[in-house]
Amino acid sequence: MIRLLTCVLMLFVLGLSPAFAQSETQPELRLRQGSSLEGFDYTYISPWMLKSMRQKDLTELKNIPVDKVHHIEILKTKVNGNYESFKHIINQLSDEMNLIGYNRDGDKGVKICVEISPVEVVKRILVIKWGSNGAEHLVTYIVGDFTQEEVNNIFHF
Amino acid sequence: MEKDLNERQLDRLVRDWSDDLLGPDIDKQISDSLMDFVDNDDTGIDVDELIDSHIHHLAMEESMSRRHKWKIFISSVAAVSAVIFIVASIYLAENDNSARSRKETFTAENQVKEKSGISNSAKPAGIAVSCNQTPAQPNRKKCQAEKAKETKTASTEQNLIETIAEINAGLADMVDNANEGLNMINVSLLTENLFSDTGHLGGYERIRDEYSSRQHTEEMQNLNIIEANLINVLYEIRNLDIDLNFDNIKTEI
Repeated sequence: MIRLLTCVLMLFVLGLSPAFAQSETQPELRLRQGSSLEGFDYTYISPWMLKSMRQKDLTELKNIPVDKVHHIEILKTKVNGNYESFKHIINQLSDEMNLIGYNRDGDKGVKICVEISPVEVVKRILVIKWGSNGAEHLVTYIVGDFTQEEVNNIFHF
Repeated sequence: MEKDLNERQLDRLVRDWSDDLLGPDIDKQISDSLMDFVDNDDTGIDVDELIDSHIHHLAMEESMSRRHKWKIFISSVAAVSAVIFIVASIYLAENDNSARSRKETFTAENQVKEKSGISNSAKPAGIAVSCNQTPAQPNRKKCQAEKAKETKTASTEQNLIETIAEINAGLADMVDNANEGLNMINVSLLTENLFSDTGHLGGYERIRDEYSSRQHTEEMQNLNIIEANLINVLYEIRNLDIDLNFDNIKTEI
């Protein structure tokens, strides 16, 4: 009887564990809708990929605390495409965040936004770089837990 | 006279045949029956011929019965021999396997002991590790634990192979259906989802190894592009040369 109950309990736990694992690790991908944009290239760097890369290529960069990165999304121009849709996605995201850096030179420009928790941990970093004539756009969205100093290092190592 | 002759002939025949072929009871029955027949005969039938025919028939039946008995006997002996042979073969084969298994296990144990410097004399000869031994023997638990571990490892490997097969199937669909940009994101998401579901740490590395060893050049190329893309972007961010200002920013509530 005890064995039977143990088996039932184990099956129950095993049945639930994937659901918990998925809900814990499945990230919210904010730039993913850009993957359907014509003329843009979307890349998602998953936590598992980051864990794998920490021991290899990323360590030589030294400017990013890879241990604290949860995931990264990148949306950039592949060929000239639907700029209005691109701008809508980016503006929607940047409006939720705080601007900490801005630089514009003619048609080119850079905009950096962050989201900071009440305990002053930077949870999200959005870097928008746009080129001239609607080309060479690059958006990088980094999710993790960073100090302000670590964020500074990302841009000024 | 005819009757006497018949009676004598009958007596002789019955006696001769019955002595050789028939038992005493049958002898008497046949004798009585035939004598009744002869005593009451008024049909003019050739009694001698009838008696000869009858006795010959009885003799034939008896002979056939004897041959039949011999056949049954021989068949029985053959069947029993065959059964004994089969049982003996199985028993010997099992003994042989068991002995070989004990020998191999004992040899392996000796090799381990030799490597670890443990003297074999510390253990009485003839004690071999086998999971079939009584629970009182300590090696049984160890053996069972090793077997369970082997089974678990095989199961994990099988899961990985199945996962890789799923990934390959998914990638094949993506190559057919999606554009290049979607391919890359889907490779990444598929990998992520599969291994977050199973909680398999290092799964991504294993996938890379599997792709590499199985020469899945297209998938490897996609993964390399994803990684190279990230590296390039991070280099680009580092070279932005922009001042950051954290003053007066709102914190998330």
